[in-house]
Formats: sequence, C-alpha cells, structure tokens
Amino acid sequence: MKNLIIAASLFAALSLALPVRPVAAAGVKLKFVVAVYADGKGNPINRPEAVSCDDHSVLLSDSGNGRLLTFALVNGTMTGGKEIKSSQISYPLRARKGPNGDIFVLDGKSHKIVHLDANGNYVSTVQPTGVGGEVIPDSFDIDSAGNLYLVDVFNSQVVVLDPQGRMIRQIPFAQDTKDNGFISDITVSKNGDILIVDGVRKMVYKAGKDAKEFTPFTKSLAGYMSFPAGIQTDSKGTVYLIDRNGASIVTLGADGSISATQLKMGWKEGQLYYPSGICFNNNGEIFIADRENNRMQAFVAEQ
Amino acid sequence: MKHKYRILMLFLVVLAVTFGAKARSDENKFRLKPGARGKICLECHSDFQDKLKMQYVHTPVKIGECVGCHSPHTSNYGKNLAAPENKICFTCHPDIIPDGAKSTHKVVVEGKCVNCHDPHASNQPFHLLRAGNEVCFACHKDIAQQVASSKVKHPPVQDSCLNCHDPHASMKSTHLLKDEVPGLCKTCHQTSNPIFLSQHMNMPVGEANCVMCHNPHGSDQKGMLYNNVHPPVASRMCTQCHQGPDSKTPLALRSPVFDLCKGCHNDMINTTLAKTQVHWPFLRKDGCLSCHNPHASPEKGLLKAPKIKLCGRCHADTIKRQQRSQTKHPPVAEGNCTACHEPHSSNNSFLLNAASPIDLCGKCHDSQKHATHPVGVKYKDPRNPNKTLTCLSCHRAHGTDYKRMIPFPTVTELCVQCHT
Repeated sequence: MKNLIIAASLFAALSLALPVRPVAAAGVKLKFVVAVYADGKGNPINRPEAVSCDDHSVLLSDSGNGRLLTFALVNGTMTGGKEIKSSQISYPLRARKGPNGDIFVLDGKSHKIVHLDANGNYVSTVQPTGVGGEVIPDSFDIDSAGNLYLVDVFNSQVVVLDPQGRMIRQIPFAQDTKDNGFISDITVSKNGDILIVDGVRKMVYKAGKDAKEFTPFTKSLAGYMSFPAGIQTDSKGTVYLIDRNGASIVTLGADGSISATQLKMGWKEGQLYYPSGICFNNNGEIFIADRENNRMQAFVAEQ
Repeated sequence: MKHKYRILMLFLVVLAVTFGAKARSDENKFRLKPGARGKICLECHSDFQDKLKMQYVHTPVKIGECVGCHSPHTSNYGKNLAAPENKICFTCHPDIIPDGAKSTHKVVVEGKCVNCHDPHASNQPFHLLRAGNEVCFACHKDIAQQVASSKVKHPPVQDSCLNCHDPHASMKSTHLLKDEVPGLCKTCHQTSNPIFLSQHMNMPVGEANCVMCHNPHGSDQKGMLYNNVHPPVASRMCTQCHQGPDSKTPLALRSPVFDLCKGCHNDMINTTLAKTQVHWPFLRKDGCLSCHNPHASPEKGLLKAPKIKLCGRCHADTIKRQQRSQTKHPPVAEGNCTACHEPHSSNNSFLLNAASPIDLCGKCHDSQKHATHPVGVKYKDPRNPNKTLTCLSCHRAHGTDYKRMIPFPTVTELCVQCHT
C-alpha cells in the first residue's frame, strides 16, 4: 500500500505517488490508485471528456470548465494540476501532446483543432489544406512525427495531415460505418497502424501504414460493450477500449480478440459513470476521464 | 427366359402385398370401422355439423380425416393435436414460406395460422376468419384507422390489401410487397403518361422510390403525400434543391445536402453549432438526412421513422435497457425521446434539454411530494465530492433490471451506498 497513494489532499496541492509498473498488456488487471477531483488550486473538475499521457505528464480535458489541466509524473509521483485556458477553447473534447511538447486541442464548439505551445499559449488553429472542402473532426491523434490523424465526421473519413496541416492521406470509413455508424475515437500505433472505433456498431477498424481503406479489426463487440467511446494501444499491440454507456474497459489482444472486461458502473472510487477517455504510459499507469463522475481516476496495471 | 419372368412376377407380387399392407395400415392406422371416418368424431362433436355447412371447408375436414390433425386418444399437445399447434399446419403446407423469401409475415413464421384462418371451415375464401381487409385490420389497427380516416383514398387498398401484399411471404420485396417499388406501383401508374409527368413537375421520377413521398395507404394531403410535407415539395418547387427537368441530371442536388438545408435553416444551424454538445449526425455532410426525409413523412418534423425506432438505430443499447426494465419510464416507453433530449445540440450532459436533471424530472414529477430525500446543489453526494444529489443519483432514466429504475437489486443495497 505504501507505494500506492500519497495524496496530500484531493482538493489542494496535488502530489500523488503511482507505482512504476511495466507496460500494460493483455491479461493485466487494473488496480485503482487514486481519484483526482480538482486542479492544483482545489477547483473541482467538471465533465472531463478526455485524457492523454506519456511517461512524464498527464493532460486532462476538463471540458465542463473549458480548460486543460496538466499534471507532472516524476518518479511515480503525480503533481500539479496546472490550468491551461485559451479564448479559442470553449469545450475541449480531446487534447494530445505533439512530439515537441506542443499541445493540440479539439474544441467541441468550434470543431477546430487549436495548436498551443508547451506552456499553453495559443499558436494557431489548424487549417487543413489539400483536403478539398470542409473538415469537421470529432477526434484525433498525433504520431511521433507530429502528423495529425483527424476523424473527419463531416466527410466520413480519416484525414492525415503533416505538421503544417497539409493533407497526406485520406482514408474513407468502411461502408457500414458510413451507412449506420459513428467513429468515436482514433489511435495510431507505434508501427503506424490506424485504429478507429465505431461506437454504434461496436467494432474496431484498422488501416495499415499504407492502406487505402479500413478493414474490420474485430467483429461486433455487442454483448461485451454498449458504446465504445475511446481507444488506445500499447507498444505490444494490446488495444484498450473504453465503454462509455457500459462503464467498463475492454482489452483486446493483438488479433482483435477480447481478453478482458474490467471495472463497472458506479459513483464510488474505482467505479465509472459514463467514462469518455483513457490513456496509459510505459510505466503501466492508466488514467481515465470519468466524465459523469466529474473526476480523473488513476489505475495501475497488474499482471 | 421364362424362369426369369416368373421370378420378376413373384418379386412384384411380394412387393405389392408388402406395400399394400403398409398403405392399408397408414390409411386406417386407428382401425376405424368401415365408413366410420369422421362420423365417429361427429357423434360427440355434434356442433361440428354447422361447420360442415359453411361455404369453405378445409379438405381434411371435408373428407372426415380428423386424424389428419388430431390424435383420437391422447396427445402431448393442446386440442389433441398430432403435432405442436404452431407446427401442425406445416406438415401439409411446408412451402408456405418459400426458401429465399425477402420478407415474411411474423405470425406465419411463428406458426400462428389460426390468427387468420379457421382450421376447419369458414364462409370466407381460404377459410379466413374475417372478410377481405378485416382479417388484416384485426392486427394492423393503425393502418385500418389510417385507411378509414384518410381524405385521399388509395383504391387498391380499399379493395384488398392483397393487391399489393402477399399474406405469407414475399420473394421479391420487403413489407410482404408483391414486387419492389416502383415496379409494383407502375403496374397501375403509367409513369410516361403526360398527366403523371405534369403532376411531378416533369421530373423523371419513374424509377424513384414512390413511398419516399406518398403514403400508399392514403393520406389527408393532395397527391396522397404523407401528412407532413416539406414546404418546397408542397409548393412544387423541386428545383429549390434539385437540378430540374431541363438538366442532364435532373434529380441531382444543386449543392451538398448541408448547404441546401442551411439555405433555409441557417438560424437553426447556427444556434445548434453554438452549443458545446452537438449530436454527431448533425455534423455529417448529409447529416440532416440521417434523421429527416427531405420530401414528406408521416412523422412530425419530417422524421424518417417514429422516434423510438429512429433513435434506436444508434442507441439500441439504451432502448433495450428500457425494454428489459422492470419499471417503464413512460416517455422512453412511448418513444418520446425529445421529452428530455435535444436532438440537435445542447450545452448539457446527454443532450438534455435542461441544465439540472432535477428541473428536467420536475417537469413531470413533483418529487418533493412523494419523496423526502434531499436533492439539489446544497447536498453533496457522499460517494463523490464532485457530485451533488439529483434524481440520477439513485435512478437511471432509461430503466434498469430492477424495480423503480434503481441500479441495484434492492432498495437496501441502494441506500447503503451512502448510509453506511
């Protein structure tokens, strides 16, 4: 227990110790560590839609408050809760860090991706060029080269942009998704595979590095999930899905088969109520944006 | 040669004796007295004499073959049937649902033949229980009401449902239609007729889906359009959205769907996009058509289907939860999704049309009259310091597997969440 939680206060200055674990993989069990309810000044979190992280930091979209919160991870201890606000951001739906530490935020009101520097200062609004029309993203990811992968819900496709916003690739959604589906999230694996999840059809689709179309990575996960809203992969190819309506985390093996379903609906710590985003890092630390519980929860992966 | 012929004859005689005996056995396996078929049954079932006088008598009944369906002594099935009630008809009518049917009548699949037919006799053709359309309207009451009340009648419907529908199964189309639309419609309506063309503003709609605009069962609108008509259609302004009859592509749109809709509904679209939570279909290029029919609809707001069906296409898990729920929430059960949700956008969670769930529930429930549990912004949820107590702290609006729409099997398990 001593290495699990050192929380001075959930509402005051934040300093949370997280045990260092190997990277999460299929067969891991999520163990609750701590719930974060407030920023570093004690102001409560409201409806967080997304969370992203690396081995050194956590970036929470505190959507209901129209801001981001950054936390530092140093030697397994989480500190901070610094607020980042911008007049260009009303309701951050997703936020990711680029390779140089810059922050990219998808705003739910303008439906634009806002580029901030590492300190949270406004740099620009991403203007996709070469796409041939309007792009309305509802999620995005960034690869290690700084390329942006947008789920363009307006045109039912994924658009890949270089760091300057120039179009590199367009990959249409599968026809089933176009007809009666909704891509709720996207992630790019370290080897360049693009994975998207259809919340309505409860399916994951994959496009390889040079693929021109998405093909099913899973069969329908109906029966295991109600509405997958978030997707992440780890370096071993394990896929994590967050089931918003079903309040659980579903883990898929590298072949798309289900390996685990974990956590359940509830208001108590360790439980979820309409969770919306998930991330994990190489330390085996997992963070969940527990949207309707107005908090972020931290877990560790146990083999 | 003679010897071989004798052997063949002997073989045939043996064969005839063997199978003749088998046939006699099948024919009278109950060893009824000569001439007793059926008559013995009628000695007790005397009321059956009236049945036999009816105009259309089921052949086995007519020939006294009661044992064709009934076992005279004992049976494992109701009415002493020789097979389960939902399977007995298929023993003689196995092809009533042909392989590869594109649509099937649910009652036929379920073997509920007696919903429409009297298995013994009737004064209606095919031993139907009622005359003409009445047999269909016994179940399809909404259509019966529509057919009766509509100002503009469709003559084939008044005549017989069977003019367009196959009662058991259709090999060619959905909805038990005898053929695909528009082929079925064109058996009566000549699309090259100048009057037809004029009525359609010379647009080449001959291959279009007629039921996109027209209600085949009749309506109150001129031209039998659905009762809710998009104003450009009502004012015959096809070219407001389509290229027009003089174009090489007359039915093609003048611009993308989103731009077309924005042309008239600009204020609504701006209001929608000004909110933080936008319902995702709204953001698609042809998103309006995800839920709306651009021409006409039986539903208000030109919706493509009743709300519970329309919303349920994507939110199937939520609809199923309500169906499973021991306690039904009337707005959900009735499919009135917009009683609580904004279909386009909202600044509130779950696209709710009120910021506070307490205010929303309070529209129908005067909670303080039936409950004394404190709710409101003054009361923190003991389970979560960032939540205050609302109706949703204890109930799930779309129901649960338990009574009172609570998320736990018993009230005690709910209460001890906080009252430890």
